[in-house]
Amino acid sequence: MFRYLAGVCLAAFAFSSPSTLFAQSATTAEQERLSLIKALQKRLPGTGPGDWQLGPAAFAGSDGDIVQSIPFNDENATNSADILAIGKKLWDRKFKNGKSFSHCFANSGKQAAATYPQFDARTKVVVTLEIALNRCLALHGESEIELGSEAMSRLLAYARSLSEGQRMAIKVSSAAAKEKFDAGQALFTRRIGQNNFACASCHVLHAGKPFGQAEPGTRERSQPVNPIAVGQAVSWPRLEPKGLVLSPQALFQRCMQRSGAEPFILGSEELNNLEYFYSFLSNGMPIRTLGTAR
Amino acid sequence: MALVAKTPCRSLPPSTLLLLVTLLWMSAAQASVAEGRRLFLDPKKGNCAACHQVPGDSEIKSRSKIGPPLVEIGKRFPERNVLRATLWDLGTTVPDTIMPPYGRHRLLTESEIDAVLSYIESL
Ligand code: HEC
Ligand code: HEC
Repeated sequence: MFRYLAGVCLAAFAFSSPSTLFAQSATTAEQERLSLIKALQKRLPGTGPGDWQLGPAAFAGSDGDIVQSIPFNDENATNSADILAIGKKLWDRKFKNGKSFSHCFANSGKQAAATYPQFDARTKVVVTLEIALNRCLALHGESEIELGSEAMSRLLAYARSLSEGQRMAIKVSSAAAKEKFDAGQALFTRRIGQNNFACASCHVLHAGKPFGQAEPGTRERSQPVNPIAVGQAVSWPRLEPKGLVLSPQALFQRCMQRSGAEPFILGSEELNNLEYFYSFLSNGMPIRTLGTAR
Repeated sequence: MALVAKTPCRSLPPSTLLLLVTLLWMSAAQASVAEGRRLFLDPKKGNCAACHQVPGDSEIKSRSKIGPPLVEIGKRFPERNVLRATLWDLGTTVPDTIMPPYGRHRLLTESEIDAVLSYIESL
């Protein structure tokens, strides 16, 4: 027994510290992304970012488990088409001054989503796509849409779909921006809540492994799997059963509750920075709006 | 004192008394195993099957491999205190463990921990 624990202990020191996953010295965001990819490859041998970006659904764990998430079946196909249709209506709506969302983004919004969240050097804050949409409304004298509302999640999904297949290209190009990235990373690796979990505990250290209990009366296969941190952002916002759409930050909140922590509120600086860091991890990977398994 | 003097046990022969006590003790232990199993599975309490497989309990169908399968616990942890410490706060021996510190963070009360221990020792 002692030997077993000692072995576990050593292994833990060698590979498992969420806080030592990232280089401690001053590094660029890209160097940190690459070191995280290395850490993940150690845990998921024989796989790489090309597999991870497809989501747990397409990912066969190193121990041969076929893991699954929400299937792309007829119901979900209908749901996502309906959702995007509603989102398009919201996007196309003419403001009182005759303008619309497409006036607020370069290239009428095509390929804009792949660059969000952005660091705004003027206000020195991270601007998520949702906040950019609300800034657009405010700029044109329209009332903002509540974060987390059904309307916002559908609008967000449509705005993302204008970048379908586009590679994520989040920029961290100044020291001030790197501070926000670092703050997001710090939250990602910090233990929180009664369960004492860090995001990295599940999405890096135990990524790609089943976690949680199957719903009563379902097969054990329905157990959820810890998504792999690199590649998650391509499929945000996510389509859930019954046509529910969850924004990135609503997904963060759900996992904070899973850790037994009181979640930060939508649009808070904490969650904006976390979304900035987390999205950057998927740089170079093509966007798959609503992320159901295909 | 008066209460004790009035208990019917005083009039029973010692062997019957022993049997009664044994039966009571056994059912109490069983109750605690059942209670421990309930806490083990409860997603708001132990939620242990979220991370562990339990090959010795065929009704628990977990395919989790985050933690090791819980087998022969009684044999491998002959000292309850060592096993208890694992549940109370595994972080003291495995600093970066993902297993929640059930005692330190009061996810389980001390008596609930004992019940869960009785259950896993029975595996
Ligand atoms: C105990 C394990 C665990 C912890 C800790 C955890 N997650 Fe999760 N997370 C999961 C599982 C399992 C899923 C998949 C099922 C689901 O979507 O609920 C998931 C899903 C997600 C998703 C949506 C799915 C996707 O592919 O993107 C996001 C985003 C996410 N987590 C972010 C976080 C963040 C941020 C934290 C830290 C605050 C965190 N998680 C902590 C286990 C965990
Ligand atoms: C979030 C995942 C998680 C949960 C929930 C969890 N454990 Fe663990 N447990 C682990 C891990 C991982 C280990 C192995 C040590 C390590 O690497 O951290 C472990 C180790 C153990 C050990 C030592 C096993 C051995 O063979 O030496 C026991 C006993 C144990 N857990 C019991 C429990 C019980 C009982 C519960 C519920 C009250 C529980 N665990 C809940 C992850 C978990």
